[in-house]
Amino acid sequence: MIKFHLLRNGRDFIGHAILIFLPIVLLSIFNYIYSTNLFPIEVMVDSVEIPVILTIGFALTFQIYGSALSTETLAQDFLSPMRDRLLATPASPRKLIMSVLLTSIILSFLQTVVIVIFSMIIFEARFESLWAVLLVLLLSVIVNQLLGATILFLAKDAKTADAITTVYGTMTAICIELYFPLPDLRIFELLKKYLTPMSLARTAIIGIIKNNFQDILIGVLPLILIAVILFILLRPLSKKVII
Amino acid sequence: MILFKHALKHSFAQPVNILVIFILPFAALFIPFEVGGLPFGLSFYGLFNLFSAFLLSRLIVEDRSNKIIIRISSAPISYFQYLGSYLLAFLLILVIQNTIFTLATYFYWGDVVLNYGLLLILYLLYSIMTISFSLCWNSFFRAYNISFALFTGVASVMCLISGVSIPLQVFPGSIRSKVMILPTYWLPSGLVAIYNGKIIDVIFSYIVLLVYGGILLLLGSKRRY
Amino acid sequence: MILKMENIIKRFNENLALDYLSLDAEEGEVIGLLGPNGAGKTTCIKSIVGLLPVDEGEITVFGMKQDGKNKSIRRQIGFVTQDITIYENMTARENLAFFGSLYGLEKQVLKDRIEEVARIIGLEGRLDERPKYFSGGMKRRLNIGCSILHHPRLLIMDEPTVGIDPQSRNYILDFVEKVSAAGTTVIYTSHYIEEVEAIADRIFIMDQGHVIASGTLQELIARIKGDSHILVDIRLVSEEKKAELLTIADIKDVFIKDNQYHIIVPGGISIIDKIVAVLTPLGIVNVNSRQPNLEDVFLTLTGKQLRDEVE
Repeated sequence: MIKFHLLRNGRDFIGHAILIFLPIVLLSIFNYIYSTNLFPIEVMVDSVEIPVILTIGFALTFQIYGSALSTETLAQDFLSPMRDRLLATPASPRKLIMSVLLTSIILSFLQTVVIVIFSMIIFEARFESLWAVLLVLLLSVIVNQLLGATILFLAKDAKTADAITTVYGTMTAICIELYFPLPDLRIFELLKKYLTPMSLARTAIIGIIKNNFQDILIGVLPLILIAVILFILLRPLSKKVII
Repeated sequence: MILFKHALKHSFAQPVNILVIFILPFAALFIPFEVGGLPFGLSFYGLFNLFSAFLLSRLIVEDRSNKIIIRISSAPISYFQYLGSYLLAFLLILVIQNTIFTLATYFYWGDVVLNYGLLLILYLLYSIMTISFSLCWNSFFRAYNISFALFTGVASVMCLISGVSIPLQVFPGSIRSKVMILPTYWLPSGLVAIYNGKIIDVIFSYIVLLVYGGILLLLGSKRRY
Repeated sequence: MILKMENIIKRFNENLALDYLSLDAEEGEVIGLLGPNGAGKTTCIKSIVGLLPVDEGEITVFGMKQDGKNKSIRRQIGFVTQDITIYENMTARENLAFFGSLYGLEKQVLKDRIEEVARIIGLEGRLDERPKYFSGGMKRRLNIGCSILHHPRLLIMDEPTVGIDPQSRNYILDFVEKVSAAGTTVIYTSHYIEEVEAIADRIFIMDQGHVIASGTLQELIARIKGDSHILVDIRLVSEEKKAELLTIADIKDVFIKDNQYHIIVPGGISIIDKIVAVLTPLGIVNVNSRQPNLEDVFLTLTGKQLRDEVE
């Protein structure tokens, strides 16, 4: 089952190309902009390098768009006539859903790794404790894939779920000041650091880079909690499409 | 008139359209920083307008993928009538968007823009260009999801390097001269011209946007089943 | 008895989709399920498969109660969906492998069975191609193939020949005969009466959620056997003439189909002269009479044509 779903999702070459090349292109453009020092925008967080901040920002943003991997696949399977065929088999529908989610997590994480490696090679971005950074990125992927599935089961429509995810991805990227700075207000500060899963992941990764254990905990623990809650919610929500 | 009304009705029936066309663009108003005295949101709005035009033109792609276009073609309606009605409907919606945004800019930013009439015309002509661009883009695809996926990437990068979603000033002159070829470039260019009161430059931006609109419309109007 | 449905009631909000439906099937039988659109055929078969819970009544499959959760029942049912439900971007082999694995087949058993099914459905040599490049008939055959990998005891086919060429259709009908000869019970729904006539051992005619007649083809025809069917081809149809015909004593019923009046009279009654007198102004092209067939049974019982529901 997992092998089949890996193969099936893996063949979405256009999707993978967009989720890998687009962030790389945007990373390159933004790196260039900030390296020329022509734009007086302060994007450094304490003393974290610009390429690192940008890599984290774009990797996290495109993980949200990458939740379309599971959204589209689950929609094809459970919001179409295929649902009847699958439910007529003795296979557990929940196992099918888990298989889709697991393979989407694997592929989305691999996409993230490609972006990070690209940044490390081309822009010489340095990540302290890379393994820990990758672990947080993996956790973020898990949250985003679960969130995508949750939105799909709530909306019961792939187009609506895609639209919500796209808007969510754009707004959260704006909240972490990826494209432009926000006013110096407390609410924006909170949004940037703590109030969205993306900002929590970003806070945790910056905490790892700067050896700030408090930031790591503040970022990771709520993310784990969100992942657990979403996982638990999947069961009753999936009934909306299974039954 | 039937096709025009159908296109309007279809466009307003999608909740996503209402969100992206009539709610989200106004977030651009509140982007706090200014570039050379001009609120950056006026330029960033161009990104929303482009995506709005794309969402509206979805109907044309869906007619093709559902083979409804074949049914329509066998009716006593010319292809020109069909396309023209749809495009006019989309343009009307974007004109409404532009008008509301311009009014909102006036009330929020006040006299920062010297001439709101010229601004509205600029947005109108930019909308003609974005609709034509979306039509041309979609004419190459049979499936909307692939079209949208690729469009997201290309449009984002195009807006980025043409000064719509990042100020043009961050790019060196050598790059600025090259990005003039992008149709979206002429929105921020026109905005700067309006702000500086250079009418000749404003009219030049209008003409370029119209020309782009015409070329893209011609390319996108080719009948494809 | 492999399947028994007793007094099944199923509602969708205010709509009574199944109305005291009763149906049964013996092992190895081919059951034809006929009915106009909205008769409840799809609801009926989805209930058998366990996709839809019923509100009242009991469904027993293989001696077990069908409650939608019984995996043992599912392992023995093959369901051929009306829509083509295959992954078009995966090869035919990958499709068969995936669906076979869902029924517990694996490794060499699965591989051998894929080759065997490919021969049965006539897609050997095409297994490594993707269905998006197949014709409609080939997709339908693959759709069937994905449902028979696990040697189902009960095969449910929901309009399996919709929109395909005659060659593929004949292939599928041959397949049904072979698989039933091998002991599989088949429930076959269709809009095509001639298909059901050709393959079904017993036929259930449904309308408005319940079975209005059932039996072998001969038994069903015998219900209306006493009647004669007079077919009059004319140039121009007229509803007024139909009404006029119905006023003639001894005429039981009149149907109009295309440019033909189909008049049912009791056997032995000769009123052709009266019929001709009424229809002459419309321009009679041909007059014929024939023995009743399944379509006549259907028309008589439901008052509707199978494919063109008369409001």
